[in-house]
Amino acid sequence: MPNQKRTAVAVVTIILAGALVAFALRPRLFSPSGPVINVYCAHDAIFADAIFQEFTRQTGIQVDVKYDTEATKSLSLVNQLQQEREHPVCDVFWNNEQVGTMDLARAGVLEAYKGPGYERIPALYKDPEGRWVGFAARMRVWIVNTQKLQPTRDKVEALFKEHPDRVVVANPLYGTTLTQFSILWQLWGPERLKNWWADLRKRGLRQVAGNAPAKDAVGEGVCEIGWTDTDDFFEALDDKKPVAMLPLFVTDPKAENKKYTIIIPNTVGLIRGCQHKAAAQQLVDFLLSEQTELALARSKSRQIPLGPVDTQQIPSEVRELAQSVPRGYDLRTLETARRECIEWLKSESLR
Amino acid sequence: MTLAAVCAWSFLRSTLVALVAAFISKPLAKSVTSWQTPIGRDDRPTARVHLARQSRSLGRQFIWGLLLTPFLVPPLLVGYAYYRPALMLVHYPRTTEAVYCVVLFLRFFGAAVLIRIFAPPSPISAEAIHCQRLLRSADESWPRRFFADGLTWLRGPGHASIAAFAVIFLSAFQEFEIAALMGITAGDVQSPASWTVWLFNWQAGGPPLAESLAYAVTPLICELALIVPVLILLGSWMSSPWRIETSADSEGRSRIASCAFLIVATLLVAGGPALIVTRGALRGVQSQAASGPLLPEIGVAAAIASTTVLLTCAICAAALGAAPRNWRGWIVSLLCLPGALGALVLSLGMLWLFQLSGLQAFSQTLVPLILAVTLVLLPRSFILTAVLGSGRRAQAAHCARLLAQSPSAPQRRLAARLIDELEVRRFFWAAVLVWYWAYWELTAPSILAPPAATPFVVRMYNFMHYRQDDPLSVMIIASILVPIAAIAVLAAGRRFVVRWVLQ
Repeated sequence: MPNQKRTAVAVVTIILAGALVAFALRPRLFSPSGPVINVYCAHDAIFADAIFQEFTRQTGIQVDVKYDTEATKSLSLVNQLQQEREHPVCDVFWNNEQVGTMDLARAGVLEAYKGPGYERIPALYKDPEGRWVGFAARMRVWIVNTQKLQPTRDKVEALFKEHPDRVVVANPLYGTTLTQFSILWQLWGPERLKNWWADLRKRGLRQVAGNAPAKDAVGEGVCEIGWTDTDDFFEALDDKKPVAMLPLFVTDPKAENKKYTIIIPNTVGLIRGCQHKAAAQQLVDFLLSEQTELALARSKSRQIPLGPVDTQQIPSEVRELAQSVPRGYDLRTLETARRECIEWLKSESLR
Repeated sequence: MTLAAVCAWSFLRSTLVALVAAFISKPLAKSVTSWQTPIGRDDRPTARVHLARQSRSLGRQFIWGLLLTPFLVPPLLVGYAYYRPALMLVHYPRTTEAVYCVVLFLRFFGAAVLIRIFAPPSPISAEAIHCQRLLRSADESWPRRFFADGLTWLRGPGHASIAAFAVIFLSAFQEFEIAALMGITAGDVQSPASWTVWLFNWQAGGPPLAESLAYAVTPLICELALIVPVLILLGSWMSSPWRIETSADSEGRSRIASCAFLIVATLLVAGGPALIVTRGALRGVQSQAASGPLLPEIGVAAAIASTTVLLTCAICAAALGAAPRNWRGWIVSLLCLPGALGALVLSLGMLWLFQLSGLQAFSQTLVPLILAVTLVLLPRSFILTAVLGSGRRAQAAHCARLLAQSPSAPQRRLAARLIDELEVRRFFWAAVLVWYWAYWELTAPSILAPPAATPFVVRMYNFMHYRQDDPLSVMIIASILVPIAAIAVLAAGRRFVVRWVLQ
């Protein structure tokens, strides 16, 4: 009798193991009725999910999403897409910045597509060949703790110059701080940037892992000012932290110190050789639509619409930010600067 | 800072943490085992004895709970809880380093205590050591005496301390999640440094895999420099008979001190996450509607962890049981090597491997991920198997099996309980521990999970990064409660199955 019972236990174990192996080999055991597309998304999951759900509701197309995490921030989905170039898994890439997407376009990972969404976005924020398009942007800003410092440009710039040890910035090796550094690399030239950064670090400028910790350090009053993005700033504001913001300008010494804002759009691109092209094109158009830009503008991250939208439908603070969009620096020229900048930053801190 | 310098820093930190953990684990293990009660029955216990037994049993459960909680709180949550305190210390890097060391120690010391409790006895008995000392000549110089004592300690009584030190060292050295969330850097000016974060930052710009692998060699050498001598030293000890050290005569003061220490450790490691989770849980229930499918993602993580456990068990059984004895050490070392590279480099390697034309068909399956998680967990699994499994109480188990063939039903019931206690239970809990590690593994799923089956932990980390406290709280509660419920059911089911099979 015990032998029979042992056999029964062994059979149940084998069946369970078989089910697990089947799941491992085919994670989607039950095929949905409609088409399914794979999306790699670097945007915040809690906001992106709502957009994908709405897309599925309208079109019936299921979206499987792979999100970016801080754990993979430096290697990022961009690197993964480069590795998967010969056998793409992803159909659509939704990046939360532009320069990495441009790298993918240069490497031939993205396919040109100029649908209805492409037409409504200004030329400054899209690839002329249609391999990627920008939408719903963030802006680089100074975040100021109002209990520690009056949020005026003079005071902020004076503090930054005289007391960098009371200033916090994110690690410039990745994210939007890298974009900011790449612009400075291009505008100032390598030598000036290197000297400036070395001097700031020497005088105690605080560096943290990302924009969110930089925002938190200022919000908690640990540092008085810092650099961050508008979405992080609004999060601190919603948490009732004593913070204010000022747009961060970069000046071009070769053009009579012309000032630019740093506008960092989300970008979307179709993956070359993707398996569900028609459905993927539908998603690209959906993401570039006025509806999506409005939804992201009204979300807690207050993304700035780049295409024409009904301004009455967006919050007043976003309307104000939208005025800076035409003054944004043209990030499309940054590819080389970004690569050189990464090499320099790695040689500074990692060798 | 160079990788060699960062590795040296991490090595010193891990050594310090492991030394303190190995040292403090001895009195703690003694105190914890003083709560053990023997297996057996008393047919007619008096009410007083019954009450004393019950209170002792409750005390034992409480003390084991305190011991295991800091060890089992997921590192992600510990890092998340210490994110803000570390941020407040941004101007005081030395204090941040000290806090990080304390957090590492509090999180891992439980493993050292467990190793001491379950370790085989010393191959050199106290009597033998005494005899050795008696045989010494009276005029032996003190350095010679010190050297001889040291050698004896290494060959016998020190084995449990060495095993505890090695396991804690490896855990602290490979730690990544807490370091990343606490802002431990890659060696920036005036900041504490960690090689895991260094290697992670090195990936910026997407360097070729060969370069990443080349950089992984330095930390690998650091680990091997410790693991290889330890394996050689402890090889014979691992096959010694197993026993739980019991110290029923532990002093009251020592018990109180141990209890107080365990309570403080639990509060410091588990209290922070518990506070954060409770604070946002109610609000989070409302926003959960917008944060996507949670239960399927927990199911995916559970399925990945379960498959990993099956694969790990099979590999451990084959390597330790079926492989020829002479080759066993080599096979185990070889299997441990990929895991010693760390989850990041291993996952990148796996991603590259499954892009090759022969294996590309599996790239959209969970196979690369399960393989990577299994390889990451193999070193720990081997240590677990070796400590818990190789030295069974074979004679007692054999007697229990003989008893299970008795015609008397009550005797068979007792035999089933004994077999469960002696053989099944510890392997079950070892499997649960491996399952738990696999369930919370973050780096490998971040890189290797296909979009159709991403485990919850990837989304959870996304929420942590963007400080989405409310939905995060709901996610944490669900991701802890679901497996706890499943494990409770399985634990109860285990007893039932053992009894059913043996009766």
